[in-house]
Amino acid sequence: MTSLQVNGKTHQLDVDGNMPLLWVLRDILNMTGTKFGCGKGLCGACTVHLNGAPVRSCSLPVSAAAGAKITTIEGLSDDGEHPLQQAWVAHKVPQCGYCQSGQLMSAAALLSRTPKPNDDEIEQAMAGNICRCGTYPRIKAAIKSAAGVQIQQPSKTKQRKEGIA
Amino acid sequence: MAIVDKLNRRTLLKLTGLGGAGLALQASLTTEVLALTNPAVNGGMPKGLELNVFIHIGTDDRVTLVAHRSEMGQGIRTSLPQILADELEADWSKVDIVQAHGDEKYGNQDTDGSRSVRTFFHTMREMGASAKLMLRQAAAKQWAVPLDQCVANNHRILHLASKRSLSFGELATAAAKLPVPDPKILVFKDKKDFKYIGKPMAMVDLQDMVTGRADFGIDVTVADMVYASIERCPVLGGKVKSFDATQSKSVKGVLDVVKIDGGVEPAGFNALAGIAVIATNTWAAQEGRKLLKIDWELGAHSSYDSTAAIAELAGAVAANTKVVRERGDVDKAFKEAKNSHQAVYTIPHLEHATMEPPAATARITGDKCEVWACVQSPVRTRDVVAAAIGFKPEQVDINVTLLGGAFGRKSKPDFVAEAALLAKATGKPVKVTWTREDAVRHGYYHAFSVQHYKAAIDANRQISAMESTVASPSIMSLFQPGIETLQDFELGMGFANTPYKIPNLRARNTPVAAHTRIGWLRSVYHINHAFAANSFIDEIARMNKRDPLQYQLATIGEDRIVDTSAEGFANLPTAQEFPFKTARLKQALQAVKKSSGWPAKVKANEGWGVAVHGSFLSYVAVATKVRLDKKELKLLEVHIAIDCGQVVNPDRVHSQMEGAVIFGLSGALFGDIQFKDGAVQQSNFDDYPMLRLNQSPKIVVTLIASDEKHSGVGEPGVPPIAASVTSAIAAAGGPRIRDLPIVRHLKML
Repeated sequence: MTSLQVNGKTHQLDVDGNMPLLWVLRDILNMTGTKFGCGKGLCGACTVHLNGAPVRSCSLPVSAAAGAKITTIEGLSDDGEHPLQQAWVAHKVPQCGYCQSGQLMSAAALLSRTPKPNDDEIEQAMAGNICRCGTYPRIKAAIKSAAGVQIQQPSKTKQRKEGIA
Repeated sequence: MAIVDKLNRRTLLKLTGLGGAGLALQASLTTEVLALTNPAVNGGMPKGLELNVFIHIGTDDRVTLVAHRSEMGQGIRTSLPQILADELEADWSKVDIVQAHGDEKYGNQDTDGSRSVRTFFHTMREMGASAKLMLRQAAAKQWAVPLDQCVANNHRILHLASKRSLSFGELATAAAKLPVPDPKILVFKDKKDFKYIGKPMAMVDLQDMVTGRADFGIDVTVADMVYASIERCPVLGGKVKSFDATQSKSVKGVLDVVKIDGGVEPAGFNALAGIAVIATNTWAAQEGRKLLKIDWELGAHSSYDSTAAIAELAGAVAANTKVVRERGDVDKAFKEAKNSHQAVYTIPHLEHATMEPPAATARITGDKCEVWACVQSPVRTRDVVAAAIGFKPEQVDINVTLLGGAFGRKSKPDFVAEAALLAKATGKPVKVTWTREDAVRHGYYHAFSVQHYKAAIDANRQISAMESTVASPSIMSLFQPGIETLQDFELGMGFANTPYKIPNLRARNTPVAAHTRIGWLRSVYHINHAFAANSFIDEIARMNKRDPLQYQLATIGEDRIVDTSAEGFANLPTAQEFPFKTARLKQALQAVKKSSGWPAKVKANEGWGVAVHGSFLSYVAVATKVRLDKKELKLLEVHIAIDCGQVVNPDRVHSQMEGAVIFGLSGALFGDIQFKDGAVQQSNFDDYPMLRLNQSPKIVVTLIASDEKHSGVGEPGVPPIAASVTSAIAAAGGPRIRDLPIVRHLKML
């Protein structure tokens, strides 16, 4: 049995330890917000947080995630209150929307360690996430505006997330 | 012309599950929908009067509108309802959108060709205006006042003199009893009164998309579902000779192994030959698949080498080339020329690389087949599925999910046929999920292109004659055996209908056989044709020490409507309604000139390039600035201006232009699908890369104010991108790149 803690909830799972975390989330736990894009850690669509750090769940065996605190897009906030989610809405970032879970998780990890990132830091943190629709200019703008919000007023969401973690 | 009529309750219930009282209207549409592409490609266009779209106003005040087009990031589930809600005077917060199933009653649902808004703008307005009039009539009757005293405003009908008002919901039942008005008596809102049309409304799916709740094809889960991963024949037309699945079956979770026959030619949208591994989860299916041992019968295309094919065609114009358009005396002009120039431009195959790979779920219960899939073409999907499993189309129900990117790939439902075949074989609901490698290796590829250009230059440094020759496999090869030459609808994508005011002109077409599935990819042949034509004009401008933007303007020439019909090439079927106007092309160039500050002074290793192209009835110009550090390329700025006529949702046009820039850059910089021994050599984002955020330029979008009819948005931004970049590279002191992709010559910084 593998014990997996996802968004504050612990699951006891009978799965092959080599199964990537992505497929455990999607097929076993039916949490489909985390997306499959490449299976090789090349596109970032499957990004989740492992103890707060962004990881590509398509390339992470579930055995390596056992015992760690995993946060997925479903756990980023209760109902889209995370400042980045709000900024994504304000800037109307998504087009097809498919890569946006991963984009948001990469951006959230960036802001939690670098609350006020410069352009270079944003570019480096987001370089691993591909968007075929071309929402990059808006992703960049949304991260900047969310960073502004976060500095002025620590959000309830962040506190709650830390509470879970 | 739309004909609005009442929608019977049984149909409403069938289509949406909505029951209850209220006013329900449907619009029927004569199938005048103009296809930009060959009818065979758009296939299955229904004839005569068919239900297309509908509206339901419930007694609870909720207005439900059907979205019969597929959402793939262009915002169509928002833009069309915006039009209807505006004309209806509905409160946007009380509008719900339901997604249409695949049903020919909606007419042609194919979401492609950048045509949803222009095709349905008036239908939406008529539906909204009809429902509004009926609600006003119901109120006038109830209050016993003249109709003209009853005004619709924000989801209510008002009687101003008596200060009475009733909500749409309160009037819905009474309105439903009235006859539907004759469209001739409908009065439409004045433009200045638009509340939603022309406004940057947020997408209806926006909140779901940022919370992980949006459901794509890959996210579908149904009870007792099993998961499939399929090893397909690497070569078109190939078949399974024999296979051994013993080891696959030993993988924990693997339930079954099923052979898919496939190998049909022409390939159409049929499933490819392969071996499917069925398991209790996706990963087990993929792991089991790795252990398959398959002996393939590779078939007739197993010697296809696309690099060699392109090189051979680039070497010399083939003898079997045919003239498709001619004016003046080209040969005489070349004899009298002061100077001349020639160049060969090539573009390899491309694959769509949608972020969501193809995925579909099928469940067969008795004589019914239910499907959930990310498809651009639900009716075609229904027909393909029915044919694959030997059902009648009416036994198949297609549920359309959100599409995680599409770009034309999801118009081709081969992956849905696979799910249905496996559901039939296993007796269980099956979800098929393609891996990235599957998508890259088993696509419907953008046609490669080889174009020979030749110009005669006169003493005034103007082009006195131009001869262009194209060689490219046709999309029609997918449907008809023996098609080995581009069709008129393909040549009309910016090749044979070039707008240049060059006195002597000849366009020629060289036959090329297809050895893979050739399919339409966002902007289709316009990508190839805009690249060559714009590059060539830029080269001549620079050779003659002329400003390239001014030279483009001069070569396009005076304001006129481009008409090729007297020169051997028929005008597009849309020419009557949407004449090709040079003034609009030039206006787009002027807009990027203004936006970019052209011709701005730059540092020695920086340069600007410009390109302009009309496609999907819109007009787009692009100016790009790059910097070269030794052999490393940095994209600095891209300015893009579009004239797409009137605009319904300016924010979505903006976002489509931003997206077109990124999409065009990915293709131009990296796009390179190569076939060797009939098989694709690339596999994933490592060897088939996409532009990333850290490589992206600053993008400046201009929407040109226009009173012209609505025209295309999703595709027209892409075609001018490539030439604007290669010309900027040349201007920055770099090489003139004529063979895409750019990374063959330069590294990306």
